[in-house]
This record gives sequence, structure tokens and C-alpha cells, in this order.
Amino acid sequence: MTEAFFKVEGLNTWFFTRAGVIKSVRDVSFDLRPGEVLGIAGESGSGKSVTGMSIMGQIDEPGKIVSGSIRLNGEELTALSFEQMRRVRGKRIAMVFQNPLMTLNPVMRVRDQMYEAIGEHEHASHAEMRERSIEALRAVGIPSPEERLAAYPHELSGGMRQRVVIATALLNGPDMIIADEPTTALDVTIQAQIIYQMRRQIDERGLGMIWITHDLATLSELADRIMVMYAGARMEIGTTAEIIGTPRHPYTRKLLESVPSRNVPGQKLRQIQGSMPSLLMLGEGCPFASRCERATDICRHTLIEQEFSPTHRVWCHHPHEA
Amino acid sequence: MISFVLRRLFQSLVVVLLLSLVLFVGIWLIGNPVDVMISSEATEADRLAAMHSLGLDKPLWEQYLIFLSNAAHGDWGASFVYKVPVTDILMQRLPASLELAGVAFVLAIVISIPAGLYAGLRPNSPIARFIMTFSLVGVSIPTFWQGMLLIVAFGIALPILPVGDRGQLATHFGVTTSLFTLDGWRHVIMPAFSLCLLKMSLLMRVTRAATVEISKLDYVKFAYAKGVRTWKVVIGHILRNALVPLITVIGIEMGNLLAYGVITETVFSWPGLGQLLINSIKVLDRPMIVAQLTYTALLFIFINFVVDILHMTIDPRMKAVMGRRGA
Amino acid sequence: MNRGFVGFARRFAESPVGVASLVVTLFFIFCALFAPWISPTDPYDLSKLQLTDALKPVGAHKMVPGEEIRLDFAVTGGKASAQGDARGISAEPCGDNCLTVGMKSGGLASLQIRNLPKGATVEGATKHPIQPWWTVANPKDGMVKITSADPLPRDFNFSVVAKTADHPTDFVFRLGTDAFGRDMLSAILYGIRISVFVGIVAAGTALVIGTGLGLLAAWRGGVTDAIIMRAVDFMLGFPSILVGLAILAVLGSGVSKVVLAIVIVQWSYYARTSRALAMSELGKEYVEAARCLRLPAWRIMVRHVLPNCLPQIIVLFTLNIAAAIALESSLSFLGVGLPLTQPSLGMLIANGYQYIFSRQYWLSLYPGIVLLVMIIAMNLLGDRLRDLNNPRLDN
Repeated sequence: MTEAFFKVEGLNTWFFTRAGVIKSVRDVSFDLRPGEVLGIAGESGSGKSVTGMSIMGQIDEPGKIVSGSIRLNGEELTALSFEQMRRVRGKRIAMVFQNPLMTLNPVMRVRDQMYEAIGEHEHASHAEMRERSIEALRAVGIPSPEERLAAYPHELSGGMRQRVVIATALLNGPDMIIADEPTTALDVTIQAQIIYQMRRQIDERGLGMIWITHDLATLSELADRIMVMYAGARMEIGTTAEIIGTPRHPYTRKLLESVPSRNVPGQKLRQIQGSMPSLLMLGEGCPFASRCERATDICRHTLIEQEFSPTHRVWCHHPHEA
Repeated sequence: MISFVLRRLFQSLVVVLLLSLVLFVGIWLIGNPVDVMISSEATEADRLAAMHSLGLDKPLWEQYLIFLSNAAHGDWGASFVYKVPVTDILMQRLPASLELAGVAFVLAIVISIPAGLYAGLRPNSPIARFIMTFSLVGVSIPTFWQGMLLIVAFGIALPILPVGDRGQLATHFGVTTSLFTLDGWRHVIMPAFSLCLLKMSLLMRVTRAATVEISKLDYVKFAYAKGVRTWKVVIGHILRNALVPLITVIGIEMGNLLAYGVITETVFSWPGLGQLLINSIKVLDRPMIVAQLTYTALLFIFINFVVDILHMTIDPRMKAVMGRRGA
Repeated sequence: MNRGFVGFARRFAESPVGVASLVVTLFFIFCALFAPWISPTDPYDLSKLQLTDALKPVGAHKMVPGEEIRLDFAVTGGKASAQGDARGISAEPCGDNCLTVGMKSGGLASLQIRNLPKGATVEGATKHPIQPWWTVANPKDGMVKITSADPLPRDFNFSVVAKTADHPTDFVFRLGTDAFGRDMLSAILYGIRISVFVGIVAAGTALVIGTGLGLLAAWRGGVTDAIIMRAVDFMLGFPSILVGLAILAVLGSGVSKVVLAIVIVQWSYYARTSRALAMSELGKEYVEAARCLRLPAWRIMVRHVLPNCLPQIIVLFTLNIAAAIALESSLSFLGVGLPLTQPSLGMLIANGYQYIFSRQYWLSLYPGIVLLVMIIAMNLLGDRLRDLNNPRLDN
């Protein structure tokens, strides 16, 4: 296995609101290897998107990366100035957003939005930018890309727009892509096509990808490894086989049980009782304790890490048996 | 596109005709201007003679038709008070009003859009708070009172600016305006600021609201994620989208500048159309009132027309909508 | 979530600015309702006005104007006696050739002695060029001395014309007075009353008419909708001040005409808003259900659709009261609004306008501040209500 080129260690991203400090990401660490897809799974509010935006250095006021390190090829991204970080964004780390209908600027032509991504990082002639854009559009399976370049976003379908976004992300040959629920807003058939295209690009180019989603079913098809997050903290991390096949954390189990495709037809869908605790009032213990059937007193006060294999780690006092 | 423009032109024409009719009938209802104009000792014969000379003895519909056909030829009739063609008086007064409105318009745009943009981008900074407080007062403060305060502050307490009149005129390139002289600028700057304060504040708030809303949108985040420089994101993405609602507001407000000129010109004794309109209303100078109100309405209809066209060029999505409506 | 009035009130109370604006607005409504009871004087009672009080600055006392006392004195046997009601004027001899006349309590603006016998004169007085009249302005201690080189005759007559000085009363003009000597505080309180009255009545009438037409347009659709909405577009195309001006140019000035003008300006806002809201409401299932039950149209509109439009209409109402007050004051300032006898705030400011050049700033400063605070408070209140109604701002 190749060395990890991207490492996040002890990341804490907090939001200092008037109501109090919201600890959206707490002590999160993970790494990424070339050609690997790391899935980050969790409900809304689990901190998965904030993790992605932290890596991009795009945390808005009143949020702040409080501590932790984010290293890309050994370079510490959290230490970079705004301008240095700008050169990283779009060039070395690209991002794809959730809603393709909202990701493209409605009053700009596709080509201007693509050329912009090139022109902000290097001096390229008009012809060269056009050449590369067409190539990128073709790579993600857009028919007659020359015509699409002159189109406005509203003239394209949702799936087409997401392909444009992905093509834009690929333009500068980034080391890694962060995809924040890129297929959630799309039809199932389009989803499958997009996932296929993404996987192909990753395999061909050998780039790393972080795929943020609430949808474990998608991850089981696409991801190499999966990290499950809850209320800003890691619950479980492991290879896809480990997480889907032998989930150890009670939360991961519950999450898997609530995926419709895994259930026997006719059986009632299982819900997770209760709701996520307020991020304002988190103690030292396991954040899932209040909703967990296996929780005991110790869960409410401390949180421990248990390793089941070199790749499989769980943060739980009472993990399930294999 | 062309069919859309033609349709809009036709609609506008109908509106103008309707308006002139409403005004004509309305003004006729107020009373006979002859009663105001002739002296109290005049005999009934004098009165009839005066009415005859002004064409007021003809039936109303005939008066309206005469007025309409004359208006189409650029003849709005003669002022009852000044006894000269209305058009001459209007033309004589127009430059002053245009000067004031023009300076006010530029001032409003130049100050409000950057300020609103800033307040939207850094909503929690002290400067943004100041901008918002300023604009709140600006939209609430009645134009006439605020003009008086300016006069007290800069004309009386700190007598650094002149009050009243246009100042020295100069002619260059065939245009006579006070904007070619320093004295003219000293005269125009305070009324122009007073006139634009309300519009400026309103535009600030609209710009800020649009900026706040747009800044949160994914395409702005995506632009940052592409590594686009901040100023390019602000200008190319945020401002460009903010302009879509702004154009409508700017269009309406530009017309309003001319309308509110009525107040500002009265407060600052500015020799423009607004002051003339008020005086005409007070003395019931019928041709004058009708011509001015119709002229202003024409201007408004024209502005609305331009705004629609502008909208279409800025927002490509509109083209689809308009094309469908026009077809 | 937190529904109902208590929940709404609690959320409203979260913003100090919102609460403050509500308090200020209620204060102005209180002033408007109780102006006749809380204002120190009745500014409409022209008989109480006196010119001595005109254009007095802030904090000046109301004056009792001086009066003229005409009195004849008869001196008989060296003793002077007043012929009639002396009203404090007295004359006493101070020797053979001397007589003091005046008011012992002081407070005389001038004293004139007429028709003295030959040889007599008045100390420190200016004599009328022709008439035998001697005048002393502001006599010291209110007394003057009639002297003569020779002893004064034992019997003679003379007359006195005394002008008492204005003297202050306990009544203080806390905000000064206007050119008619009217107490500005009272005038402002009554001005608030008129402005608020015009604002609420005009915006309220516009609300009823506009919302009604908007709902009608939404319900009937077709030609009705087209006509109403074209009329709305037509109205919205022109600035309110111009429409108001045009209407008042036709109708002339007066409270009811100003109200009418504002209604004509504002109905279109309600019509547009209520139509848009009603259209989206009408698309919902419960309306479909109500239609299936064959409920009458007005009942569906009034019982089901209207309550759902109401929150936004109320926001519009709050903002439109402020706009109506501003419009009324502007029209009054231009001299086409309210009549002079019942000045609104705008009229008070307009009346004070000519005096700012002579630095009598209080005439228009205080009504202006009151008007500004009132409009700001109502705008803030409207903004706050709108924020609370806007689900997008919930998080």
C-alpha cells in the first residue's frame, strides 16, 4: 500500500456563536492515499461538511480552526496565509458541492466559470484554456463539449451541471478532491453515472478523494475506507469491508439498519431513537450515549479508542462483537 | 426579443394616453382657472372673454383632443400664468433638474453599492454597523427635514456651502450647465446629497441584503474553492448576481430622484421643474401641471422599459422567460 | 416549534431593538390617543394665543403681557388722590416742589405724566415735542419724580399713563413657541395625534381595499386578475410622492383628501402581496379539500386563505403606517397637505423652515426629531416582525 499523502490530525473546528461555542469538529484525524476514496458518513450536523470546509480553509465567521494539523504532501495547510491557501484551492485540492443547481453561477457562461479556475492559477492562453476545458468536459462524459462551453447553467440538466462542476474540479489536475454529497440532489440513474465517472477519474489519475455523504449505500459501492462521524466526533473508521461487514460501533450499526436497500422487503425500517444532542452541551463522554441501548455510566464520562485491526478503530466502551 | 420590445412599447403608449386622460379630466374637475386668474372686479363678460381666449369654452372632449394633437406636435399649450408656451418654460427649467438628479444619482450609486457590498461581506464589523445605522436613519428621515438640517449644518452653523440657486453657469461643447464651474458644484453638492440620501440608503440596504444572501450560496463557495481571488469573487460572482435585483431598484429609484426633486428643490430653492410644479399646483396653472405630470410619467414609463431590457442582458434566465411571454 | 402568541412574544423579545421599537411605537400611539389630556395647552384654541409669547426659545416662561393704566390724579391741598381705580399707582409729595409718582412694587415698562402745571418737569424724562407729556422708560423702582424750581401749586390735576412690564408666569414652554406664540410641546403632541391618525386610517383603509382586491384577483383569476394586476403595475410604476401630489393637485388639501391620496398610493402594495400569498395558498391541498366540500368562495378566502396571508400583511401595514406618515408630512411640507389650522408634524416643520435662517432652530428641530424617531421605530418594528415571519432566518 502506498504512503498517505494527506493527513489530518487532531482537527478541532469550533463556531463561536452568541449562544455559545459550537464544537462542530472535535479531535478528528484521518489520512488519505493516492487513488483512494475515503468516505465520511454521518447525519446532518455530524461535522462531516465542516471537516471538508476546514480542509479547504473556507470556514466562515464565527467559525475557526482551533487546533490540529492538515498536511498535504508534508506541507502544513493551516499555517498558510490566505493567498498561499488560495493557490492550493482548486489547484491542489478541488471541491465538488452538493447541489449542482446551486454550484454554478447562473449569470456566467460555463466557459467563463471554467476558464476562471485555470486563469487564477496560471497564465494560459485562451486557446489553451478552451482546449483543457473541452478535454475535462469530455473526460466526465459530456457530449459535444464545445457547445456546452457557451451555455448558461440554466440551459443544462442537473446531471449535466454536476458533470461540469466535476470537470471544473479536474481542470488543474488536483492531488485530491473533496466531494460533499455530490450525488444527493440527483436522480438515481444519474447518480450511478456520476459515481462511475468519479471512480474512473480517481483510478486513471491516481488522485485521492474524500466523499462526504449521509448515504452508506453509495459509500459501500465507491469508497475504499469509511469514517463514521457523529456530533463532530469520529465513531468508527475502517475499510469499507470492515464498516459494512463487521460494524462494531452501535451507531454504525443503527445507521446501516436504517438504509432501506439492506432491509428485507416488507420489514419495517429501523429508526434511531431520539435526536442528536445539542453541540453546545457536549461533555467528555460519548456523544451517542443518550441514544445508545448499550450505553452505561462510563459512556457518559469518558470516551476510549479500541483497535480491532490495523485499519479498523472504534471509539466505544461497548462495541459489538464481530 | 423584437416582438417583446414592440409589445412593451405599445403597452407603454396605452399607459401614457390613459394617464394624460386621467390627468386632464382630473385637473378639469378642480375648477375653472379663470376664476383664480382674473381680478375680482371683472365682469361676467370679461370672464367669458378670458375663457374664450384660453379655449376653455369648448366641450371637454374637444379640449382634450386639441390638447392631445398639440401635445403630439410638441405643443403643450401656453401657461396660464406666464403666458408663454409650456414647453419653453419646461426646457428652461429642465437643465437645473437634470443636473441635480444626475449628480444625486451618481452620488447614490458610487456610495451605496460599495458600502452595501462591504456591509454584506463583513456584516459584523463596526463599519458595517455604522453603514446600517446610517442607512436606517437615511430611509426613515423625511427628505425635507434632512435637507433643512443640512442647510443648518453647512449653510448656517458652518457656512461653507451656499444655499439656494444653481450658481455660476458655463457653456462648453454647446452645453450650458453649472457643473462646469466650481461655484456650480458648490451649489449642487448639498441639494444633491440631500436628494440622494433616501435612495442611497435604500440601495445600501438592498445591496447588503443581496450580498449577504448571495455570499452564502454554493456558487460563491465554489468560486472560492476554485481558488478565485477574493476581489474577483466579489465583483464577478457576488456583485454580478446582486445586480439583478439592484437594477430594478436602481431603475425605480432613478425615477424617484426626479419625483423627490419636488421636495429638495423646494427646500433648497433650486430653480428646477420640481419647484415649478409646486408653484403651478398652487396657482392652478393647468397646462403646466398636465404637461409636467405627463412628462414625468413618460419618463417613468421609459425607465421601466429600459430596466426590463437591462434585466434581460444581465440575467440570462430572464431571456427564456421573456421570450416565452413575448411569443 | 413555538406556536401561538406566547411563543411569538418570546421570540420577539429576543431582540432588544425590536422591543425598544415596540415600546417607542406604543408611546407614540399613547401620545396620539391622549394628546388632549397630556398636552399642557390646547394649541387649536386661538383665543389663548398671545403675540408676547411668539418665537420664545426652549425653557422660556409664559408671560402675562403688560397692561396700560390710565389714571387721573387730583392734587388738592398738597395731597394727591387718584380719580378712579388706582391699581397700585400712587403719588406722594416729597417736599414743597416735589412729587413722586409710580408703582411702589416696581415692574413698570414706562410711565408717562401728562398735563403738569407750568414750570414742573419730570426727572430723567423725555418730553413729547409738542404735547406736555413726559415719558420715563423703565423707571427706577417704578417711581418717577415730578420736580419744579418753584414750589408746586397747592391744587392741580395731572394724568398718568403707566405701562406695566410683562411678567413671567410659572408656565414654561419646554420646547419653545412658534410664530403665533403656540406652545411647541402641545403642538407637537397634537401633531403626533394627527400624523398617527392619518397614518393608521390611511394605511388601514389601503389594507382593507388592497387585500380585498388582491384576494379577489387571486380567486377569480382571468380578466379580473388581469385588470387588477395591470392597475397595480400602473400604480407601482410611479413614485408615491408624485401620485400624492397629482391627487392633491386635483382634489385640494384637507385631512380626508390626504388620507384618500395615501390610500390610492398604498392599496397596490397590499394587492400585490396578498395576491401572491393567496395564489400560493390556493395551490395547497386544504383549499382543494375545502373546494370539494363546496364551501362558498368567500368562506374559503376569509376563513382559510386570509389568515395565512395575515402575518405578512401586518408587516406591510406597520411599514406602510410609517410610509404614510412620511408621505403626509412631505405633502404638508409642500403646502398641499393638511390645512394650517390643524398642523401635523410635517406642517410644524414647514412652518419653522423660514426661521432656521434666523437660528430659531427649535421650531423645526423638535417636530423633526419626533417625526424621525416615530418613523424609525415603526420601520424597525416592521423589520423585526418580518424577520420573525421569515422562516429562512430561523437558524
